[in-house]
Formats: sequence, structure tokens, C-alpha cells
Amino acid sequence: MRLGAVHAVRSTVCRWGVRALGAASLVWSGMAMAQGALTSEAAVKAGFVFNFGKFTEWPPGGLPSGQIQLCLVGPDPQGAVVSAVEGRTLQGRTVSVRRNPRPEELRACQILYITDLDERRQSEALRAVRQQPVLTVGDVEGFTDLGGMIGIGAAGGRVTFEIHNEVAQAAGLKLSSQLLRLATTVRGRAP
Amino acid sequence: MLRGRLSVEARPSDSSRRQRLTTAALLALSALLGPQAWAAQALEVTAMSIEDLMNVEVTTVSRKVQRLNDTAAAAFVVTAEDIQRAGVTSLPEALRMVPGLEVARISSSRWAVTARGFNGRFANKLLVLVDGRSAYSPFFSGVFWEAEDVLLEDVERIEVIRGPGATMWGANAVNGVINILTRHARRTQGGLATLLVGNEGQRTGAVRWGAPVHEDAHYRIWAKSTERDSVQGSDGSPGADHLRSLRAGVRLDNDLAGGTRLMATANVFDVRSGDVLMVPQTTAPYAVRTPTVQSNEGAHLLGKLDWRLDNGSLGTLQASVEQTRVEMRGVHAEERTTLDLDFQNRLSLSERQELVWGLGYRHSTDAIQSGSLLTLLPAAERQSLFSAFVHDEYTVVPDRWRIAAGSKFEHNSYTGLEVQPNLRSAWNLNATDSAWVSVSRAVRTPARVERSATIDAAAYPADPAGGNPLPTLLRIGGQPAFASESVLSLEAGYRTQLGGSMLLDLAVFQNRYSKLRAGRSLGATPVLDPLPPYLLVSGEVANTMQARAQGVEVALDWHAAPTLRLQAAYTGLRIRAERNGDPMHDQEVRSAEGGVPRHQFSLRTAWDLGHGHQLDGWVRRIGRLEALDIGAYTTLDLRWAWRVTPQFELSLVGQNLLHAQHVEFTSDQLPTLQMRIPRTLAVKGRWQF
Repeated sequence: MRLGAVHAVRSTVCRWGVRALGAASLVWSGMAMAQGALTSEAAVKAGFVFNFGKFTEWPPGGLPSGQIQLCLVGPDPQGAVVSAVEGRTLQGRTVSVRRNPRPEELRACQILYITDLDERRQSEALRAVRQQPVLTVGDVEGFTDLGGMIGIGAAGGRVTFEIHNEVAQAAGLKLSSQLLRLATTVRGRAP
Repeated sequence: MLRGRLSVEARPSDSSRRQRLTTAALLALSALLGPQAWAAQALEVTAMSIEDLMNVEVTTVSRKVQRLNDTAAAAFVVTAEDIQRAGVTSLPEALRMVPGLEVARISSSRWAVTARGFNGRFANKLLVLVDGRSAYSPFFSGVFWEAEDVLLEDVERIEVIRGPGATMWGANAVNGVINILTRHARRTQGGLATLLVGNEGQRTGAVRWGAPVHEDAHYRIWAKSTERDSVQGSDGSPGADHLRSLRAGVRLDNDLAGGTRLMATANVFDVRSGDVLMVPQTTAPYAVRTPTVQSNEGAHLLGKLDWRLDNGSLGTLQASVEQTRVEMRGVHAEERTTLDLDFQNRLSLSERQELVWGLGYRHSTDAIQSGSLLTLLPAAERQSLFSAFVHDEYTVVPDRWRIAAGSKFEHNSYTGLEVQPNLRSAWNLNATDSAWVSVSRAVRTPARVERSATIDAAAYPADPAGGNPLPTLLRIGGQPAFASESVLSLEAGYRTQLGGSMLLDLAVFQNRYSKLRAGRSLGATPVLDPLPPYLLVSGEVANTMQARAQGVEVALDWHAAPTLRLQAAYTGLRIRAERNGDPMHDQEVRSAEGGVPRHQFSLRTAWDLGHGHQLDGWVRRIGRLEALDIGAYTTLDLRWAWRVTPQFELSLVGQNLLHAQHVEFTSDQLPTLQMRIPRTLAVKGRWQF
């Protein structure tokens, strides 16, 4: 490469770099607020998952004594889910979070929380616990279409959720009427 | 053709990464909010009631962030939401939002789409896949965008990877790969009907129905009709560039035990579109306005099976067969049958090493009828392509540093063996910042026309004062020895999450192209019989051009407020090629250097007004095209949508609002009238049932 070209690239890259930095510094002021927002989104959703656990009735023998295992399939940015629920008490039992278990280990979970964007892994995980007393919650688009019980989403800056009650019933889980009332949509509502 | 994920998807991370992320996040947060704020936030959520949680305002981070952060390439994802909110009605319009792409509307029906330069109606350095099927025409080596369409509501996402994607995707992905993916059939259950009516004769209607076959198998069936009237030529004369498109398709997805998935699609299409060709002749007026109709018809069938093998690796097998007929009245008619087979295997060799390898076979037969403007010999041809690739990704430092190396080996009927290697490295600097570099080589294999076509490109009147007493006809021929074009590309990128609500993605590259297609003059011969006499100036295509391209691409995605999202993109591109004094060669140099804008800027806003109302805006500034003498322009699109009921949405879309009309491009390869792109307004209704 000729020297002239090298110089041209370098100076162009520098110019662009300066422009990019300028743009970045313009928005720097909004950052502190935004950083807080990120934490709260993942944490707020973790709070929802915990609350879903509170308002779900497992069939007799569906909950082991002492511990509730929350299995997380997918990423947990900033560890928000783990920090929010690990060690808390739910239905008189201690919650322990298990990250990315293998499909055959999923039946040992009581709550399955899916944040993975890969549809294959989503449906594989759901299939592994089909008709098992495992509460399935997904922070993914169209989770109830996929055969999940509760899909979390966000609309207009608020976290919302939809419920597929038929799937929950088939698994022997009873979701409280309060939960059904607060959901944006409920599919397969109990007669 | 099918490919690996190229790490576009997020992968589950292990606990050590989490701890590291947590630590990093805590550090970052403590600097900004103080440690108490973090601890308090984490503690509170389980003590809060659902009602309280529902009232917490959150700023949603783009899902793209997760998909892109791990990709060691210049990548961009157009989501279903982006498509809907931009109010676009065709695939090329959706691609306008992608940094690093140059998209120009030639006419009502024609498009020029490329990545990183060398744009044209048959831009040949971009590979386009629709649900795994290659839309790249081996005849012109380009994409008939007027004939590539899908039901836009069914698009899950469009992944765009700029730069040589050849290692995984094969030849002709010289400057990029566009991967259009439609939704799993389970996600499109029930009915959908859309109707769009607007000025300039815009009439688009589509219906879709999806239903389960059984618990694990779902299908959808759809049909779409699109019409758009001709616009005016830049000389004010009426055009013939109308579009009448009819297509229908079906998709079946079956999820079997053990993570095995079967997908099958079938499509049929019949697209009519027009042009005004300026057919050269050696008597006045030298370029004869000749309205012509192009028809693209065909059907394709594709099946894909992926499964988990006993050793935990993933296997994918894809087969497709395609039959198409393209006829440009007066130019040519092409019938083509293509069979494509692909196998891919992804396996973890160790905790740190993942290997992907694959084999492919493609067989294509054609039968061409030549018209008056274009002559092709031989009239029928068979081409086969064998390919193999291997790609190995090694984690040097867990969660911190990955390197990947691989190569594709292809054997094609024209140029024999082509080797396309690639080396990449990616670093996660901290929880929010990552950087990557890559060096790769890719080739663009010859198109059928470049090897065997002869075309009358232009005619000029006699110029006795200039020493030419005869009219001139310019005829350019293909060359049986035309070889592959190649590129050596150096790329680097940086991604950072500024706060939780802003993603900045920066890519720079330097490409060195060799053996690019240009013209070579072969001399002039007077033709005296038949009368009147003329001077025939002949030329042929030749691999004579060397070029350098440098560019920068920036994407910014900012959730400024819970109800307001801003997305900006900037593309800077500079191409320099070497002249050699041959006018036919130097003409190509001018097109390469000045056929794409030096600067492009796009800003989109998506604003939720509440009560089911949305207001979206899109401003684009496109720099001038020196070689085509087309000026820079700024344009504005606006969309207002109202979700009247949960099942029914009404929207108003205005495109190109700032000017009554403007020129974006001039069709190349065939001498064609330049068209003005008008302002359009449309109303659209969408029902779900």
C-alpha cells in the first residue's frame, strides 16, 4: 500500500473517530439515567418472575421441601436475575437459581425462566418440561405462541405479561385469579 | 444455501462471565449511582407486588444488542418492528435503514441495492438469501429485486452482514450477505389480511392463514398481490415501469423429539414489470424509446432438517429446487432449473472450541433465447458447484477473547477452485464494550452474461467535425476467459452500550479489489453492408480494474424515553480505481468511483403517542452520484398508525414527502430511460383474526 493511501485512511478514520466521539459526548449526559434503567428492566422482570411463583399453586408433591429451583435458560445481563431472587423465600422455601441447565435436567426445576433469543433452544426447553409441573416464564416475543405459560414483554415503558392458562392447567398448575386479572391477554381462560 | 449463525445469536454464558459482568456492572454503577442505589434496586423487586412492579417505568433495551454483541463482523439486524414502523412496502425499502448499504430506487419496479459500493441494477457483490434460498441470479450475477418479495408481516428479521461473508456463505458474498428470515409457522397462526391503497397506483393486498396440523406441526399459507403504476422519465416522457406482482406461498414447521426440526417452504410467483429501453440504432434518433415488459415467473421448493446428533453436535441438511423463467421482451428469455443441497455440522470440540463444517452442491441448467439487443452463446448451459467449508472458533480467554479462522473451498464450472479464507478476532473489553478485527478474501465468480453475451450498448450520430464521418455503434461482448473478481478486506469494529438504553456500533474497513470487471476496447471497423454504413466500435469485458475502498459505518440505537426510540445511521465510503487510458476501462472506473454516494445519513424516530397511536418519522440524506450526474437529496417519510381495536390497525404512510419527485439512480447494463421517483401517500389497514 502506498504511503499516501495509508495517510488518507488514517486521517479519514481520525476525522470519523472525532465525529463519533462528538456524538457520543452529546448523549453522555443522558447516560446515568439510562444505566439505571437497564438494571431496573432486568431486575423488574425478575421481580415479576418471583411474583408469578407466589401466585401459582403447584399440585400436591409438585414442590420439593426446602428449596425451589429457578432454572434460567439464556443470558442474565449484569446478573440481575440472580441478584434479585437467589436465596429469597418463596412459598416457604428458599429460591436457588440454576444457570443454563442441560435439557434433561430441566424437569427438576419448579420455575423455568427463558431469556434466550434462540427459538430452537426456547422450544427445546419448553418441550423438555411439557405437562410437567414447571412454571414456564419467557422474556421473549410470542412466548405463549410457543407453548409457554407466561410471556413477559414491555409496552409503553411498562412491563406487561400474557398468560396461556390452558398450558398451565395441562401441567397441573393453578394460576391465581389475581394473576389472570392483571395479564394483558389470557388464552385458554378457565371455564 | 444454508449457513451457520456466524455468531449472530447470543449464546448462554457461564457463571464466571456472569460474575465478571456483575462486577463490571457494579463498578460502572457505583461510579454513576453510588453502590447503595444498585443494592437497593436489586433488593426491592422481590418485595414489591405485581401491581407496583407494573407501575415501574422501564426503558427496554433493544433485543438486537444481545444478538449483535458477540458477532465478530459488521452486522445489523432489521427487526419485524423496524419494518412495520418504517411503513415500508418492499424489501429494498427496508434495507435503506441499514448502514453500509446503498439502496436506490430506479423506477416503480426496479432497484439498485449493494453493500460497500459498486451499485447497479444487477449489483453483483451482495448475496441475498430468503429463508435459506439464494436469490442471486447466476445469469446477471445480481438480484431481481422486483421479483423478490415476501409477506412483510411474516418477516422475523433481516440479518445484514457487511464485508466478505464468504467463509460461511460462499462465493459472491464479496461485500455482504443479506439473510431474510420469516417467522416459524407457529408464530403466524390465525388469519391476517392487509390492504394498502395509495397514489401512483399503489394497491397491495395480502392474506395469510396459519393453523396447527398437530401439537408440534404448524403451517401457514399466504398470497400477496402488489401493483404500482409507471412514473415519469427524467425527460418528462411517460414511463413503462409499472409493477404487477402476484405470489403465494406455504410454510410448514414440524418440531420433532430431541430438538429435531423440519421446515419446508414452497412459493410460486408471477411478476410483470416494465422499462423504457433506449435501443441503439445507427440511424436517427440513435436511441429508440422502446417500452418493454419483463416477466419473472417461477416456483421454488425448499426443505430443511436440523437435528441434534448423539455427540451433542447440531446437524443441518437443506435441499431446494427452483424453476424460473425470466423474459425481457426484445432482450432475452431465460429458463433455469436449479438444485441445491447443503449439509452443515456444528460441534463443540472442547469447552473452548467450536467447529462448523459443511458441504454443498448446486446444479443449474439454463436455456436462453436471445433477442435483438442481447445475443448469448451457447444457448444452453449446465453449471455445477461443489463447495466445502470449515470454520473453527477458539476461546483464548473465556468471556474475553475469541479467535476464529476458516475457509470456503468452491469448485465451479467457470473458474475451477476458489479458496476464500478468513481470520477474525473479538474481544469483550468489559460488560458493555466489545471490539473485533477481521481479514478475509472473497471472490465473485463470473456471470453467464460476462462469459457469453454480446450487447449493443449505445449508438452515436456521425461527427464529421470530430473526424468521424460515420455514425458509431458501440458493441460490448463477454469473454470466455473472464475470471473471478476478488477482494482482500481488512475490517475492524467497536460496539459500546452507552448506558442501558443506547447502542453505538462502529465499523471501518479497507478493501483491495483485484481483477474487477471493466471494458477493453478492441478497435473500430467500418461496416458498409447493409447500408447506411456505420462504424462498429467493439469492446469486451476484462478483469482489468484494480480498486481500493475505504469506509466507515455507524449505527446508533437510542431508547431516549420509554415511548421514544431514535435510530441513526451514517455511511461514509470512498472508492478509488486506477485508470489505464482505455476509454471503455476508464468509464468503468468513473462508475465505480462515482456510482455510490460518499456520505449517507438516516435518522428514524419511533414514538408511541399512547392510546394505540404511533408516529414514526424517517429522514434520509443521500450524497450525490457523480458518475450518474444525480444530485444529493434529502427525503422524509412519515407514518401515523392507530390500533383501532386489538385486531385492527389503520395507518397512513407518506414517502418522499420533501419533493414532488427526484431521481435516485440510472439503470445500468441495459440502456434504459432514467426515471423520477415521486412523493407517495398511502393508507393501510391490517386485520388479524
